[in-house]
Amino acid sequence: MKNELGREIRETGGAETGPAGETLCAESLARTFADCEDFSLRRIRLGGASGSLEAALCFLDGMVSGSAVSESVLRPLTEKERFGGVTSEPEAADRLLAGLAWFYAARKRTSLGEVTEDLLCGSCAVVFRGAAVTFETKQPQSRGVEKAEMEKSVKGAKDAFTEVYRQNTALLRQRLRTPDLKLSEAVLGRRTRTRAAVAYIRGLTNSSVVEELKERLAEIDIDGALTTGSLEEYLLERHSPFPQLTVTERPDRFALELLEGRAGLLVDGLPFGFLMQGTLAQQLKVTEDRAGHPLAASALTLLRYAALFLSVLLPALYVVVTVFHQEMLPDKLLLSVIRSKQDVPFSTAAETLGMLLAFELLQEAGLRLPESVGETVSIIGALIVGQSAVEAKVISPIVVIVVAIAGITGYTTPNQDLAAAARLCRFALVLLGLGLGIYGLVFGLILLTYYLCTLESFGTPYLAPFCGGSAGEVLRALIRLPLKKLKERPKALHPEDVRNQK
Amino acid sequence: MRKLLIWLLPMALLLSGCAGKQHFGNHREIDQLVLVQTMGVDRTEDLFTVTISTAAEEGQVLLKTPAVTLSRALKEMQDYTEKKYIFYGHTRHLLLGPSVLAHDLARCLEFVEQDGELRMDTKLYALRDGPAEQAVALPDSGKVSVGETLDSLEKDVSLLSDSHVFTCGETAEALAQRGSVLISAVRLAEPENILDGGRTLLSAGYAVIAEGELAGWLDPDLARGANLLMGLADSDVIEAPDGQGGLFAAALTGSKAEYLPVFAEGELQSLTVRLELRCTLSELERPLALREESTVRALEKGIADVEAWRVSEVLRISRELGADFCGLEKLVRRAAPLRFDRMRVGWRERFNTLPIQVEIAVKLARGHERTIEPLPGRERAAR
Repeated sequence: MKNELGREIRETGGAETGPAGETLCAESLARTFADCEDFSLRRIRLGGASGSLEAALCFLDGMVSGSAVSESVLRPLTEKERFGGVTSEPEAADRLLAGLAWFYAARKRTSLGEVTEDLLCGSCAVVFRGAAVTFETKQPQSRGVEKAEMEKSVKGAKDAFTEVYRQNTALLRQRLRTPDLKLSEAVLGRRTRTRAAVAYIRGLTNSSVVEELKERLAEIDIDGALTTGSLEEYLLERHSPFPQLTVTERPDRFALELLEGRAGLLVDGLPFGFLMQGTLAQQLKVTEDRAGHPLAASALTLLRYAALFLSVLLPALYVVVTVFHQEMLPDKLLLSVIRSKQDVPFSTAAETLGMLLAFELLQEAGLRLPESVGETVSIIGALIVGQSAVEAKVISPIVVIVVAIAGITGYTTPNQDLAAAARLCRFALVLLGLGLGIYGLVFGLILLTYYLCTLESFGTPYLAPFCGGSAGEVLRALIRLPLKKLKERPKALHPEDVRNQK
Repeated sequence: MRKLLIWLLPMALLLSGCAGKQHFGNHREIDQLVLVQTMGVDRTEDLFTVTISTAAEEGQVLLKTPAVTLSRALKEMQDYTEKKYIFYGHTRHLLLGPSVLAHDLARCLEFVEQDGELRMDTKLYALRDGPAEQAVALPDSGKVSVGETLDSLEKDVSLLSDSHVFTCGETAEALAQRGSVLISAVRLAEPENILDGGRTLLSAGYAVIAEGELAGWLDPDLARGANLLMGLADSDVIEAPDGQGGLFAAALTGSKAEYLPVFAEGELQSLTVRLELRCTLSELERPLALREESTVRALEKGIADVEAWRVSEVLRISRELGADFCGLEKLVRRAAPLRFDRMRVGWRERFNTLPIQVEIAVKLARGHERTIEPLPGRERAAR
């Protein structure tokens, strides 16, 4: 199957739409779309009323641009000087493809399935008996290119990917104006027929990663690819709470990562781009790191690492120290903690777990509700309920502080999937700490480290370069060196072209 | 293999002593803890009396328990409080009465070492003029606990170098190595010295422990000499004659002790202790011609004489007791480790008869605000 520009589209998973073996004609098409109220079939006479040849103009109402169909397809078809002398259907089809209809993208189709597919994608079709010409008169359904919401930009580009696949490829192409940027397309989902493009830079991205990605896409055989999760879970060998694919909504970051040597994936209907070979170090970096001064960017990177550790460890450490190892706290701090805990009826374990749960609930409620209501919930939940609970001595202020610090530090993690994984670990470590004290905490950390060491994303260790990288690469992951000194791409990605500048 | 290791780790719980009731027995709710700050130990005939005090902020708790052993006393103490658990992990100060110092210092230190909660970095004090119980029960107003008083005292003693607070760990180490040690001594202040009528603890020099037993006391004046020898004197006020019939005061701003052993034929022949003192002039009874070099030299000599007497006295007492409580052995070994270790006669045997010469070099500087010219009104006297 080829796209509107005649390029190959890889069919993945599922049968072609439309009944196999049925002859292509207006009637068979009408039968295919029987009971579809939005299906329109209009019979027209080529060359106007005096024309001898009849064709059917088919489209799905709402999917196509009415003006484009009228002006660029219908009008030329009914002009006598263009189609008046046409006597056979093959000649009419050839004339349409030769440009007598003005629309820029036209395809000749010979099977019912192909035409059905095109109609579902927003094309209109001029159907003859046994053949058809489709025009991509798609009605733009997009909200337009808007600012990135999840990955805020301070000194970088503001635009974000949208739900429109072609718009996303255009946003990428605007940044990488090189024919070496390849977009290898595939169709995903038996019923959704979602288009996806594997994006990579020829001569730079490791070709085995690209091939692996294409193969895994081809193996996906699902009903629909409508969410990010439905792809991630199928693309990865082991699905882990730790994101092995990096999801970004910023085209500039997507382009930058392609230049680093990664492969990307753009999917129709998803305002995100997926980046393969996701690593922890990559997920703790933001595009702004390159925009800022090296010292400031390095400090912020280190801060993010510290914040991640704090976010994961602080509640567990609090529990361990206050329940089992009180001697680890300095006198004055311990006295302060004891004072804050006086008269609170719940145990430290119940308090901490309860507060962690409450924090998650508040966060979830804030996310699911409309923005204005969400803010109100956060204010009521965090300030009013929290304050009242402390004043009523239902919970101790120190637990509120600990959970709030853990939560806030978690928000500094640029990757939301990583932040979610950190939250899970936080709970697990608290439970281990409650059960076994410092031993449980250390045991949990050992398990976590082991688990992270076993993760891979398309052959690249998740902990690269901390795991298997040289000292220089580790330093580079932690510290943003001046760009003039960043002459090589990350070795863990095995790029085909290692150097990025002289 | 790696997976096997991962499964073996939790199994290690069973080997580490962390499994079972004992470990889970460590679970303590923090608000049920009584934090002991100061502990006093006395000995009366066959019984130890342990007295504890908590922080004033916590609503001070004072408890006293006599028992045959320290372990029993601490356990029995648990019955006397409304809260669930008396926690000794934050005991900062351990006060020992003379009765304990007399014979049971090593036993006490060993108990601290063996106990699961008490720490070896607990500061150790000797009460000079009464049972430790009196000092632990010191505060009558409840505003300041004895722990806070001792915290303050620890800083104060460094101002005049009239003592130095050692930890249980340091004391135990010294006791194990040389059998003699100094313990910071405190005494209850005379009521007439405290303007608001309260009571407090004051530094009282050092308790001298020789062969593990209380051998005597070093007054604060001599304690300064001991601190000079141990390199612990960094601040003091030295009053000395100015050589012209008056007194002057100098502030000690730093000191350095250097040990120069002289060996011959595998024997330690003599030891020179070279002390360097840096002082600033702080107070004159009468104006002096400070521009003249001879005047400054006279003042420096005055300081040197005072300190030489202190140091010599400390050395004399040390040798009389046959106890190297200042730890000179360690300092001399540091100066010449190879030759020291090859000595035919050991340090302990040689120490009592070793000729020791003390050299004191004083560098007297004027305070940075002080002009060399006498201030108005004192010019005539200076001339």
